[in-house]
Amino acid sequence: MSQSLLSAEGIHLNYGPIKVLKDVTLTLEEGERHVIIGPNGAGKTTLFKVLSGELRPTAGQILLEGDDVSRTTGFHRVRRGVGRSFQVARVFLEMTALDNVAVAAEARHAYEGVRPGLWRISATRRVMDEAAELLSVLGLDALRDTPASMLSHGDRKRLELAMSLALRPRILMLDEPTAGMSPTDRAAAVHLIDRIMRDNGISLILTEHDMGVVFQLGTRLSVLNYGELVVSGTPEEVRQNPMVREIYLGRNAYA
Amino acid sequence: MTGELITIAFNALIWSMATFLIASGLTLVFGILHVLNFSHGGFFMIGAYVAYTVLEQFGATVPLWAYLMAAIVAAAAMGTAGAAVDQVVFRRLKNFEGVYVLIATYALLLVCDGFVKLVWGLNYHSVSPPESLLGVLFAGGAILPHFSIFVVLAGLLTFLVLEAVLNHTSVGRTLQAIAADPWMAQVLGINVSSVYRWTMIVGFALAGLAGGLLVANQSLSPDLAGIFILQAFGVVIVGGMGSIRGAFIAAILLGFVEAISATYLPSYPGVLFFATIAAVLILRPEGLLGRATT
Amino acid sequence: MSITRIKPQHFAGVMALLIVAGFLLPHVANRGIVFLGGVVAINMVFGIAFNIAFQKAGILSFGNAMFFATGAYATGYMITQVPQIPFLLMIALSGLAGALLALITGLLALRRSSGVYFAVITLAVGELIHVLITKMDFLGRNDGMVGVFRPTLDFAVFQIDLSQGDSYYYFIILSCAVLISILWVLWSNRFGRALQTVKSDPMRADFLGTDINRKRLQALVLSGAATALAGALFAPWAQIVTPDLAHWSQSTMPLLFALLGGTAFFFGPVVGAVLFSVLEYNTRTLVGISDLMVGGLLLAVVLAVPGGVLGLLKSVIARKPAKSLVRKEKNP
Repeated sequence: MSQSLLSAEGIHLNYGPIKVLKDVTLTLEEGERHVIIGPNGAGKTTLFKVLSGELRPTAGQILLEGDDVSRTTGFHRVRRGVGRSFQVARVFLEMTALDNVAVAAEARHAYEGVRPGLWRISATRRVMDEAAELLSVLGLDALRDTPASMLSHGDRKRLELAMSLALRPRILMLDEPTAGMSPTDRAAAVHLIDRIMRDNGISLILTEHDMGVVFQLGTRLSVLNYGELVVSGTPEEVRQNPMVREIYLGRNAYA
Repeated sequence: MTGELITIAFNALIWSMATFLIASGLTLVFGILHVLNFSHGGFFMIGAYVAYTVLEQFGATVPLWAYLMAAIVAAAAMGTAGAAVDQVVFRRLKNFEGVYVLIATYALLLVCDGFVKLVWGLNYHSVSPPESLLGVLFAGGAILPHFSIFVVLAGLLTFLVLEAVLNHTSVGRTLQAIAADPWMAQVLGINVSSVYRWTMIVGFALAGLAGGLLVANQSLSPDLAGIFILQAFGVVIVGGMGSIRGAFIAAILLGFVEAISATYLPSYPGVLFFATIAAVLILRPEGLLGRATT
Repeated sequence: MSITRIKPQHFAGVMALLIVAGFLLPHVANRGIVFLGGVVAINMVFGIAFNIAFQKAGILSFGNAMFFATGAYATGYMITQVPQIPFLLMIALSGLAGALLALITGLLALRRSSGVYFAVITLAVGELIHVLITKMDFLGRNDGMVGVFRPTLDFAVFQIDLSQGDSYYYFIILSCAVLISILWVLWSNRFGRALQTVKSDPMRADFLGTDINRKRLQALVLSGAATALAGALFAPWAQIVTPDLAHWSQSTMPLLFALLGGTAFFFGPVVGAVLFSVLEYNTRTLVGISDLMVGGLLLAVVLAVPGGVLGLLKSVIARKPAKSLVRKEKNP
């Protein structure tokens, strides 16, 4: 069997007596776009936090290219190529859009061992060029000198995506990337994500509520219900699965 | 040998209960308002000085009723100070980052320090215990002064009263609701801001009461705040911030640590005490009875 | 304002002004004020060292006096007991001692606790150091160390006797200028920006691949080292080192400098240290109110002008934007 890019095996997570995740096993293969879906409270965001290193599982293993990373925290996994976004975009509000991406690029340079001159004070040319380019990829050129606190919700999401891309991840984890967007913005965001993933060869894990986005972006779907993995498969398989129809899609227009 | 052990145990209890008296108000305020009041020791010290001033009127022999009255005067005075501090400092800093409140209370500690120096001077003062408590009790070769027994009982009584109020009255349930979720408490129609004010008043009054009750326990000097605030902080940290019961248990634990260190390591006071705090922080950062937060 | 494109010219300009002012002081003022001038320069470093941890990394320490005392005692001890060590090496070793103490404190308390806990622990460790100093025979117990003389700088080809005239004063001014410049570089460069991300949003910084615990520890060690260096410069200036330097009330000083001037600004503690000295000098005849004044002032600043003097100035200037806009349009 070939090695998965990222795999979770038998993940359990308890908050005290409450079992939030029960024996969840899933994999992400190179080039895949794996969407985790399920009703509210099914444990999607918790699973997301476990995969990214924000939470440590009570039991089970997280393997990154076959290496056990279960006991590492966020920054370790980032350094190994796992970037993530947050449900409510987290950007540095007091900094300009350009500075936000620049500090992200700089953080990557730092852990990759790039040493600017000892007395170098401003960010290097390379950092600033990278940041400017990413802003233009995401269409934020006009806002580069605007403080992030003054950006709209959607622009902050795009800015956060630019920051994640500045880390040059091989796996990107997006938590509800289109939450709170209008249908037009949502279509544009899906198009953008699709293009960026293709252009940079990034594999994707995302949670998403909007079924349109799920079936447009996803190459593999996993359905969580009450902390348990109900089914994992191609969109078509999941669509045809009677259990999924019952617990989830049954209540939806796509049934 | 038994005499020595009894002495150590007794000294531990005196230290524990004296420190608990001071820590109780500190942990109460932290438990409800989530503010660590650095100036608590300062108000304890002023309470002690106020009681000293009251007791000066009685000359060399102080009747027990006067001693208790002086403690109540100190408590009332510090309770008033608590209301003032709530109005002037805490209310104004409500919307600020937590660190600014910390810095403000730290500044207040220095103000208390300066206030004592200005009003009562740098000299040491002392008050003798009430005359009916001047005797001693002999127990298995150890000498137990009546006044020290009084301090232990006062600490114990304070603990029992606080426990009873917090766990078995409607006031206690209201306080617990606010401590858990002030926003929800507000929604339920509880006047949170008035509860905050009364918590401050009671917390400060406890500091004053401790000052008054303990005034004969040690000599008075402007260093008092610094010494006792650290003991009280130690108790609050080890017990778990905001837990009265935790503070009580921690006070006894640290009391024994102090008594043992005073007997066997007299040249390095405090070292064992700090080592214990460090050990607790490493093994159980949330304290003995604390909830794991942040 | 961009934090990735920094203009060193502004910093250099302010520093040049400060150094010139420092060098002019002995020519226009009496010895008492020159002594105070040296103390102010040292206090600037004391304040900035606190503020780089507080403002940049979000670390609130109530125990910085212990680092200052460590530096002062280390230098005092070496000058009186092992004077054959070159003076510059003594200062460096003192800074190292401060860094070490900060490292221990940080490893003990920083990883698991932040905010309130950390402030309490620094206060407690500071008091422990204070108690230990008063119990150590070789540190002079409660009496401290006297006769900390000003040594000679030996550069092989030439020597500078720092005990002569105002030479130690000039040495302080130059040393503080160097320290402040180093701190400015670390405040402004990639390290400083990384600290800022850690303070601004630790979770985001973590998911940018930054080891936030390590960054905080580095900030604390830097703060401890710089504070100890300030203490090391202070010992031969006062010529006496006492346990009061380690007293908790001493730890309020850098807070006051930083808040008085404005924590958001690199030069905030510099302005704060100067203002405080002016106030202290003018109230020096009022015996016994120094604690009351420091505490009251700190309280007043927090309550009334939490942005400090520079913050106040900035908001005053920002209220008249029309003028500056017009000027900008005139010369594009």
